[in-house]
Amino acid sequence: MGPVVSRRSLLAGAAGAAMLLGLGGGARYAWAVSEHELLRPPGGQDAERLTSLCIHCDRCRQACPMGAIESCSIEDGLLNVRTPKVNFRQSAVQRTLGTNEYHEATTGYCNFCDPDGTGCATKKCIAACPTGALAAFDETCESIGKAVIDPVFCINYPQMGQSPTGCRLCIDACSYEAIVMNDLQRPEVIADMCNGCGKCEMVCPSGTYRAHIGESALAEQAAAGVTDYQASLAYLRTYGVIPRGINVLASEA
Amino acid sequence: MNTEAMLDDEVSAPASATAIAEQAPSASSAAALSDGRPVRRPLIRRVVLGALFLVVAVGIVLGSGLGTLSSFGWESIATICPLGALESMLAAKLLIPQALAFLLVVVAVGILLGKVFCSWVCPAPPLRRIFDVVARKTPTIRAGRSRKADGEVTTSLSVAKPLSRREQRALKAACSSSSADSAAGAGTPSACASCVSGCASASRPVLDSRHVVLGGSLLSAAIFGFPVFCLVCPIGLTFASIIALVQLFGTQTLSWGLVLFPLFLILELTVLRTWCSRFCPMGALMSLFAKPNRAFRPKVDESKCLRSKGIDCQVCSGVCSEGLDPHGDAAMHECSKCRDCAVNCPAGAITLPMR
Repeated sequence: MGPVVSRRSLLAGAAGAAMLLGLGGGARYAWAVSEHELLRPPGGQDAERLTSLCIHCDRCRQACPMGAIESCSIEDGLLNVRTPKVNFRQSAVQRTLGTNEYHEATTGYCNFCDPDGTGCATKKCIAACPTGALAAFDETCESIGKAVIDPVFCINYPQMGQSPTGCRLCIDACSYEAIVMNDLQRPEVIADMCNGCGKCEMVCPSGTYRAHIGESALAEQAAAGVTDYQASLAYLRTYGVIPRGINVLASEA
Repeated sequence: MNTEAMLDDEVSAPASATAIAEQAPSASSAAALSDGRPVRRPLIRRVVLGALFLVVAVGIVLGSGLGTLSSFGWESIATICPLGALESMLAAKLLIPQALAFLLVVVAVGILLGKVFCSWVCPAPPLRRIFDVVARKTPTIRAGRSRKADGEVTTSLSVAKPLSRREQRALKAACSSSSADSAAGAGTPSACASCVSGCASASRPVLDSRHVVLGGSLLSAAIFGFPVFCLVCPIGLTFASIIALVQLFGTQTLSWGLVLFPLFLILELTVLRTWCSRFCPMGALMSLFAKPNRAFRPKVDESKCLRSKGIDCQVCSGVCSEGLDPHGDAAMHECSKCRDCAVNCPAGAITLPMR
């Protein structure tokens, strides 16, 4: 009977193990620093639980009938690579292809697998999760995130020489009556009613109407000290996309 | 002993032997004969691997919810990657009943079928073979002739893999130090390759570098609180590359993953050519579970084997992806039941029986 492990293979193995330890530490402390909490599928709001239990199997993304779940890439931090996040922007092309009901959202947001509002539907992403990284979720009292109006991009605010419109798309889209029109004819989110389903962000037409406000315009106005623009620029910097008139933000747990 | 006569006898015997055996007698010099014939892989295994890969890939594209190899199934009836399950349980300091139950299934499969996962499910070895084809590095079976110091001529059959630079350097050192012994046959890649594979399968300690990597990946998961190895797992990277492509076309998500996932996959399988035998912690886990396995081990009919006829045939050990010699290797539990030895044996002497 020879030695339990030869010196040569012990060295090779130790090198591999050391690389894995370095990778783990690096992912946890060096490259993980994404300044924002990611928007997770229902039940994945506990970031610690999700990252520790998720085995990157992609089943929740595939199971989502609304196509709202996306697999994170390296931009979202090494710690989050291939974990799921929700994206309420993704199927705009698919949504508008072959239809002229441009402001009807049938996919691209979370309907909690319960389109009829019966209140007891099984959520397919949670059912598909093999390790319980996505925990049980009750949309009546928990939320994916909270919708927040961005006054720079919401077309009911006068901005960059444009006069306000009377757009009601997000208000009409919301199934939870969480957005109301206030006395100034501007939408207002009632945070307690919002569960972050993302339909409002999905239907928001700001991308078309405020297409002329790009990063340079935001930076210019932000440098001039306009607070709304500074907030929009901060959104752009953290999420990497131009905000819409209404955006779901991950609520700090 | 007249080896040519022996070989002529062999020509009439098994069909698979003819191609090479016919070449061998007609040769007059000591050099390796022609390019040899390529190593064959059992058709059924290629079909199984291809079908599995296709099902998963189509599932990713169409959003079937079946998952990838990390977890494959419908709703709560699903397989779970045993390594991923162990890692995530250690990371979360939590017992997952479903994962534990499937771990038991994996142990049972390991006992019954050994490391069957490695050659019938895992996409990494076939991917590497594809990279090899692209890089023109496919191994071939060659016949050679070598004259020993006492003047006796030995015919040899061996698998010639194009050697890595490090192996070539090691060989050069070894060959130059013992040039007296290896007189005529040395220098041909086939002769050298057979000596390399011979050395590799000599004797194996209980644990090797893979098990150390396995320990490291579990430790890293426990310390840093997430399944660290998943980030570099070649299986994960394979499907991550497909997912990145799907998201590029499906949702117009352009990301660095599109470049980095395939890049890391190719690096792992080409630069670290010994990934499976040296580093893969999944293989290490499977080999631990496969320790008690006895079924479906390759059995050699010594009366048919060319070695009993004075031919130095190293085909079975040469084609073995685990570097085993089916003529009674001490580490036979490493066998992944790939059937490569049985299919490539020039004498058809190897079978994989139930016991």
